[in-house]
Amino acid sequence: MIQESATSPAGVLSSYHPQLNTFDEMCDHSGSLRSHWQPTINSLNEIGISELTQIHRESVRLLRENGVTYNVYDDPKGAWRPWSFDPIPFLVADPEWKELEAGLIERAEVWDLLLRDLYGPRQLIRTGVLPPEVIDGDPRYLRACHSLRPPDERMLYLSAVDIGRRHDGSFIVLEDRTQAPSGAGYAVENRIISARVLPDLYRDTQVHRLAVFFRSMLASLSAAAPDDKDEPRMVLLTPGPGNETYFEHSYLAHYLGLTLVEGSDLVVRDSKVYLRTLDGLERIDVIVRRVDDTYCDPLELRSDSVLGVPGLMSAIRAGTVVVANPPGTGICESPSLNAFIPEICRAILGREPRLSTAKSWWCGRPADLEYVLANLESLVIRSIRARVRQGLIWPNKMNSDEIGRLRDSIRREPSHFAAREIVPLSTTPVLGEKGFEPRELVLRTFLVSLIDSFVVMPGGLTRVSSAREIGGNISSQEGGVSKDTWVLSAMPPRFVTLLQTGARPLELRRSGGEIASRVAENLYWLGRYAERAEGTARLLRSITTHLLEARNADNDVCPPDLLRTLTHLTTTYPGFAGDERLLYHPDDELLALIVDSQRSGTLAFSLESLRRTSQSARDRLSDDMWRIVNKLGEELIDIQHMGEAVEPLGRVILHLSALAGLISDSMTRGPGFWFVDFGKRLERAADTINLLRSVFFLADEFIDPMAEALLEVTDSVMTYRRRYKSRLNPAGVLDLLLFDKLNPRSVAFQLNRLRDLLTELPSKQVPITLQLAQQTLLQAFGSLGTTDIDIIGRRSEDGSVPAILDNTLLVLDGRLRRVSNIVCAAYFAQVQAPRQLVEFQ
Amino acid sequence: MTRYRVTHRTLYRYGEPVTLCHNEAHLRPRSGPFQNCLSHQVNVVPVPDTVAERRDFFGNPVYYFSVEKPHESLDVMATSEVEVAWPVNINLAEPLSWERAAEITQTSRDPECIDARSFVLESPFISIEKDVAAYTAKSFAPGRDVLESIREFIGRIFVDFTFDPASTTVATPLLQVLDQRRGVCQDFAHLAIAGLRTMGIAARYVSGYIETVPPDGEERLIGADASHAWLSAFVPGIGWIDLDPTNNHFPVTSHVTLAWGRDYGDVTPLKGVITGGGGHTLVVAVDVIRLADRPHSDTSIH
Repeated sequence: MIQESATSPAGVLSSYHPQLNTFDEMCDHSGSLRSHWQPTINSLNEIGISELTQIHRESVRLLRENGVTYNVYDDPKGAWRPWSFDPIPFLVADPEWKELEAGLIERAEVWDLLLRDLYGPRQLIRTGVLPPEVIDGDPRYLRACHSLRPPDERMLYLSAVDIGRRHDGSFIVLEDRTQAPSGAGYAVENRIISARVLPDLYRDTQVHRLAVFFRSMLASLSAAAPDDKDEPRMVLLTPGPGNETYFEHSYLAHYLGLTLVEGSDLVVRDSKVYLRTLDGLERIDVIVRRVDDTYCDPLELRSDSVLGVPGLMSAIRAGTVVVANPPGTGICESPSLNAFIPEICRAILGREPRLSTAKSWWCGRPADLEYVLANLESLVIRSIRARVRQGLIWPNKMNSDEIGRLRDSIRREPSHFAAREIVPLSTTPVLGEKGFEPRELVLRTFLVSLIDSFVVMPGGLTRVSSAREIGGNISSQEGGVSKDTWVLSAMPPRFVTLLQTGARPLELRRSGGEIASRVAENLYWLGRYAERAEGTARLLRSITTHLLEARNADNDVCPPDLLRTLTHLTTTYPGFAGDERLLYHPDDELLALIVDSQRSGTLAFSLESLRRTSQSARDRLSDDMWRIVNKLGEELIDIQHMGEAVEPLGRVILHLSALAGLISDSMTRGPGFWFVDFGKRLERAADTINLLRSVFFLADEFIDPMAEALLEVTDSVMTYRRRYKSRLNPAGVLDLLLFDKLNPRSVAFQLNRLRDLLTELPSKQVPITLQLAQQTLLQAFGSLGTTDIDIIGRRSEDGSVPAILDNTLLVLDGRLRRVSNIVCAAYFAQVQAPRQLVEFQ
Repeated sequence: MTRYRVTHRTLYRYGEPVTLCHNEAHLRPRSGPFQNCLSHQVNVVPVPDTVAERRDFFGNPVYYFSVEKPHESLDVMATSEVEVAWPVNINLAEPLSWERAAEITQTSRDPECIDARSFVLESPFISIEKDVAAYTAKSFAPGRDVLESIREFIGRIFVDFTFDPASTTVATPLLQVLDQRRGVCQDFAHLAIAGLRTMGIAARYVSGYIETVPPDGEERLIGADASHAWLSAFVPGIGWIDLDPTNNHFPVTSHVTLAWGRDYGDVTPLKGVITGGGGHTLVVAVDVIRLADRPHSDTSIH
């Protein structure tokens, strides 16, 4: 129980009851607030529970808006799970942190030296410190990585360590992440949110800034580059959007200014690594790797890997590229190694480690095996064969049959199993419904190499258990909650930015670096999907509005041709072009065209595709653009029936306009913008042609609601009214939407723009294809020019439009498709997946 | 001392051009206590753009090369001259039970034993299986001499199994080989290794060649030889002994060693990753020619 003096009875701590036998981060054993929490708790008390609940909601909203997600494997619904966040920061006092920091640095140095030994002379094995089975029997030890780097070069650049706290308050290592440690990006995102939702508190508290760490990371990676290059080319290698922490990969790439690449974007030639870009191959010096060890190179590691780069190992060996961390570093994640920490430290440091490790056993040692079998239920078991995230086995949660089977497996292959004590974790407050509640926490800390040592991120990713239950398993895969970590500083923090003001003179640049072909392709589709979504949303809004107004006037019919136009535009056949009955009961189909994200052509589908392509080109989009893309997805979520759709559709249209505005106002006119605009113009021309055809040639007659819808979809209502008042005339509509070069929605305008774009096309590589595309476009112009608007005007006195125009539109459509195909083939030429060749005997 | 010249040609022809290939070859015979590699060269057509030689984890020479221009075929020709002198008789100074042999391997501080211990473990192509253990155990009666046990075990594989190139591929699991009692040299080597490991005896996979002798009255056909595979078993006090279950050799006699590892996956003679190519055909031709004995002090020893 908290002493009442610490807080008013109705304060945030009124129901905070930490367990007696655990260490509570906020309260000491007598129940008094620890001094470093006092000012923060006072401020939080002033804010009050109801306001904090608001703040929590606000932070959840911000996280969703920023698109912070964590992918959960094997769960289609759980993919892109929003990041769970608790707004109450976890506070660490300065002296405690210094002690932890020193221990962490020492541990990283030990791992680095151990890795150099294991992949070099193997002295620790040869001299009997480590049984060979511990290393050679673990699939994480990769023989292909032996002698991969020169003996004096470091192996470990980045690492993460999960830390818990014992009953007596001492820190303890639970696990290490040494191959491709994740979480640092989430820590930054948590910081951004907490600084934003608790601005006063954050400003008044002296909290260490995280940017220092990332500046060290950039410095370290630059320094690691081969040949002492001044400005080395650095990329972040991701397995792709399917990976659980893809959000973080794109986020970090963006934050650090690295190019985000997938394995297929890279190629090894002449034992050097290159990025495939629109301008050809660009040499890469440093790869920050988020692909697992064994997937890095299908030639020397897992032959079935499609995530890696064939020949990468030979390039590392040749010293032309530095991969951080190099493949093979995953061996330090071996659960068996923790049982040998004392021996390893004595051999490497000559003394016991500063930071203790959770007590561990390796069943390959007879004494350990005996202990583990006798104490199964007080231990966590791990199989060395299991991948990290499936690894933990909890005998205390098993029935007797399961335990029996586990016992048999361990007895059968003891050396495959390791065990760890169940560490009673410390608790820290989280915001509950009635006030603060204690929850167990694990702190993930992050390290990066710097010169001949390491630096620790002054903060980290704090995860707390999702349930009140004590002694559970904390994992983001299992739905844990995270919070910001405030390391309190004795001094006011310095302001740090990643944009360094160096003493070196800056070489002025007009282009922001290379662009990968895959990214260009995604940007092209981003342009198309954004445009398609806008057209679809506008037509849907026009129709639903019309329908609702008609219903209010007791006239329950929507013009069938209008509904059919929707089916034509979205190519969601048969739809309204099929079953006649649908025309009289359009609500369900209309709703589906809005919200069904599984069906190709619907608004939800286009928005989801927009999100997917944006995700893959994330590092090319500004944060604001990204926020809009995320908001778009949310607008449709709550629509239950067609009648509710008008408002959300309006918001979708607004967001899309905002996105278009940001693209045209804020994107540099480089290849990135080029492909977005190219996609947008092609899509807009094609959609308008499609609409014109369905209104003028597929419909039974030209009626006012159709013309209105057409003008609305093309956002040309105002222009038309200004010119023709309210008289709806086919020739007037056609002129405005097809021929008027001044109307930014007309087909002619798009053709002009496409012609200009083709002359700006990054053309180092493909002059011939470029000419082809230009010729085709000229033909398109030609087919538009042969149709004299006057003829249409005269003929249309009787309300009809000459059939020759339909043909023109068809030809035009075909030509535009060709232009698109030519450009796609030239720039996005799908890189063929590499395959294995093995000599069979 | 016997001298051999080995030529090993691998020819891929592709349906469509290959734009890029990265390859790794274990084609240079490694020198060791019973073998000297006198000369070796690899000719690749088209000429590789990058080549690099190194030693792998097990000490085997590895040849990496890449071809970075479009090509419709890849022709790899390795020519090596080696001299071999395999021990004729394998004897222990004192009898040693197989249990004791396994125990010494496991507990000795001798660096050779520590190195050998890794070869008692499972490996990607060789898992520890109950059925294999049961099959093997018949030759390993309690207290029986280790050499005698191994010799009988190898002999049983030779008798029980039929050599049948059509029966397996590189991906055929061990248990299926055991079940169908058919396979090729690789399968028999894997099976023998698996069996010995279940008994606690360290065993490693050896890739190489064997001299073939044509039936009486027939001429040796050129290119009729093939890559071969056998194994080495570790016996404390002796060291590594090479044995060949395909031919019931204990120890081996007319074998040329390329490389050794935990299993086939560690020492594939030639593997590669290609981009493009469509379908492909493959021709492999191996010739192992015994050379006349003569002094050859002028030949460099690698």
